[in-house]
Amino acid sequence: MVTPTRPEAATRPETAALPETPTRPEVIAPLGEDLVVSSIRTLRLESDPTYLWVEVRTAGGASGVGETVLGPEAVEAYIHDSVAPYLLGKDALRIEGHAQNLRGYLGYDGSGAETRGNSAIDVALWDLFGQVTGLPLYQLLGGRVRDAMRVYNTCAGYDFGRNVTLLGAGVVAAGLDDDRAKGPYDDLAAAIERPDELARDLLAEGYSAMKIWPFDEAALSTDGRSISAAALREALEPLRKIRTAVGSRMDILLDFHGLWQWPAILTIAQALEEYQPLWLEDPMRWDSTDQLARLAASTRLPLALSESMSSIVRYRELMERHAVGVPIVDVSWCGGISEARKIASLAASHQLPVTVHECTGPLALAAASHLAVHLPNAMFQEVVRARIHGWYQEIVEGLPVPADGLISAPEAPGLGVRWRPGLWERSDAHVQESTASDPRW
Amino acid sequence: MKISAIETIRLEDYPNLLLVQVHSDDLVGLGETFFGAAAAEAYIHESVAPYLLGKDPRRMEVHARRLNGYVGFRTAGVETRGNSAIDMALWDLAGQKAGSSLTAMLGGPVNGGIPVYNTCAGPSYVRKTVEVNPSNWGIEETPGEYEDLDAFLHRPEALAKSLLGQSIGGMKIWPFDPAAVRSSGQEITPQELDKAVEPIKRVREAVGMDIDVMIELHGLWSVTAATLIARALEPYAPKWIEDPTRVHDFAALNDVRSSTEVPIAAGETLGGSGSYRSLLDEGGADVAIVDVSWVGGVTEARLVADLANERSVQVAFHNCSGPVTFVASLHLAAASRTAATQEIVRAFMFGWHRDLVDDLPELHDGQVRPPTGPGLGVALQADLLTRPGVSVRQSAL
Repeated sequence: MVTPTRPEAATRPETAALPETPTRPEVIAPLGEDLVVSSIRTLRLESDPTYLWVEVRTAGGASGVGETVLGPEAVEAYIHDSVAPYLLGKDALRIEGHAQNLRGYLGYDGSGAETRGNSAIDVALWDLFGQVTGLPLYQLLGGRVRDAMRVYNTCAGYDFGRNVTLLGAGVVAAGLDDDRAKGPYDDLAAAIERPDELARDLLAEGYSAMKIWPFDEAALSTDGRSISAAALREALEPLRKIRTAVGSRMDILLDFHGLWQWPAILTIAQALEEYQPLWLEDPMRWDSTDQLARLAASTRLPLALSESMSSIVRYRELMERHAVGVPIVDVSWCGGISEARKIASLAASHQLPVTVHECTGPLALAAASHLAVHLPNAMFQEVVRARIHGWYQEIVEGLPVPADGLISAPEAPGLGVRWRPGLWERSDAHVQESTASDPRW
Repeated sequence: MKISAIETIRLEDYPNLLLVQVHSDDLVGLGETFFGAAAAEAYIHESVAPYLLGKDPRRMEVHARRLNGYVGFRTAGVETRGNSAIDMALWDLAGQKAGSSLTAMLGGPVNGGIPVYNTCAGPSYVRKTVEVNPSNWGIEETPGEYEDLDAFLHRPEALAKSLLGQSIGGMKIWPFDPAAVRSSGQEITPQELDKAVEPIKRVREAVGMDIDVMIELHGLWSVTAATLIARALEPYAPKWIEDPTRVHDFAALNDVRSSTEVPIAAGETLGGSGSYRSLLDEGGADVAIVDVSWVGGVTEARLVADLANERSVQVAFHNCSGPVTFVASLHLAAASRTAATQEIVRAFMFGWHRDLVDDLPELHDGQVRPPTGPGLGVALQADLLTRPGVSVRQSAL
């Protein structure tokens, strides 16, 4: 027997004890025809042109949802052209097997369209597993090791990254002008114009860590080749203001988006030490392995790498060379939950923490919240408060919301979120479906 | 010079092939990539066209850097494949505008011609799906001329003699793939080893060392199994063993390489020249194999050749897809000091390739030389775009 529709979210219990999930079947359904994948649907919205949402359904009516971001038309084509012919008609719950088999002859090493598509599918299959069993994702992964995880706020505004393409640096400053006057959380503009006020505001809301990227503008002006004394002083200004305003009560994380080259980044790292940021994220592109190892050896500040990686082999290289202090994974880019947990285990074997990137989308946030309470070596959960309280709510219901600087995972089955009713029928929706009855397969 | 339109061309009969034409100043540059054509096409129109239209095509280096996106770099994924096709077309345009062949633009020929080896595929090998395993071997029920895959499995002696008859001095075969499918590459039994070694053994019995034999393993194996395979092949002196393990794990390749006296060739599925820097620095390969239509185009393939040249390591250009890749490979090989042999698939080269482009080079005395006309020196057959089963998508200014 299979849960025919996405169950209602259970109310969060007061205690940390495992909740009784209302829709949990008494006996987990045996594998059978009901669990065969019968449909794969993709959704693009004109309001969010960089996103692709995925829903995998079984013959028995169970479904699971996934997501990826950047280059959605290419990913959509990949899913219907290459994934659907493979996955339709197969047992949805052979999740690990599908992860292996969808790793293609090409595009397996890096977060290209294939890996992004596979990520969305993998997340959807894990969600489906949760729907079928009535269990939240963290339970399927082996249960919680903590009730809630400390969050940091990525200081992006409401529409940051909502309209950019995957081609490079446009990611960085995009959305700045769109965010003002949309509400209280215009955090990107605030990070540049009034970082001291922003830090106080975050502290008042319970956030004790914030991520900013004040060096991007300087990087774009020189292609990361050099930084002038004036540009350095200007980029350090937000840190100085934050430290002056709130001292060390606020942890600061710095993101460089992989824009810098050697030795400019060395100059920057040296100048940053007195401000004690918690980490330097993507100071160079992650494939500059040797230079990253050199940078890591040249600074007391840990390097965090990298949301745009996927292959566990590349993580292993960075760990073995002591180039990375905090490995970062993104479930919607790295290959999904199946791959993220392996990378996290590898990090644990090196006595390294891991953190799950979430400046991607609402389903990435939901999935990350489960990993954050499950992974023994998880450190921090990234959130973007402007999005959680903003457009993420247009897409799904049931999202976890941080409180007192902590986030918990939803208790409802799977990821614990549901599509906002009417989402797939919106007038700006582009829906494509592959079904088992499609004559092509 | 300004790019006015980008066209992608797909052919029903060759669903993995994506041809690209970039238009500028009444000139047309030709490019190509292979596998996942629908996704690469979507990528080109979604992400490349908005950036590239209106720009000067001759700034290949700038465009290659800008098209290296926030995600999807350092891999031969959809983005890198799309970029490869575009980059090839830009070099073709730049060459045509300058009246210079691609070989000349790369610094001119450094050899008088390179001997070829034949990849023993049949005319329909990997034509239909993106699988590189026996399900996509495409062996026809009544094998015609050049069904070389069926031949290496069942008539290796005759195949070797046929190749030598055309002065082709090398043959690449992949008799281990069925065993890899059985065990997911985790183990190989003595019985499976014996069966897979059979073709090279029979070639040696028939023609001795007159022909080079390359063994392709398609990255399907564990280090443990690959080592057993390499040792089992040693008595038959293959020229090289190719991609014994997934080639992004350079340490694993080095493990296999250290365990055998047979040279290791590796790399066709890598994207970006940086991957090759690591491959070579970490001792993963004796021969660097690079596919111009997967690595990032002429710009990246040339960087790979430079890396190999600098280390005096052999570079070889993978050519097992379409006719444009074939021709671009010939130019790159002609200009690369450490290129020693050029892969061809005679079933493609003497077959369907000629149906798609004109002026394709011929085989002379076991060698192929690049065309001498400007740019790549080939163009699509004049009627190709109007044939049934051909679909064209265009982004224009």
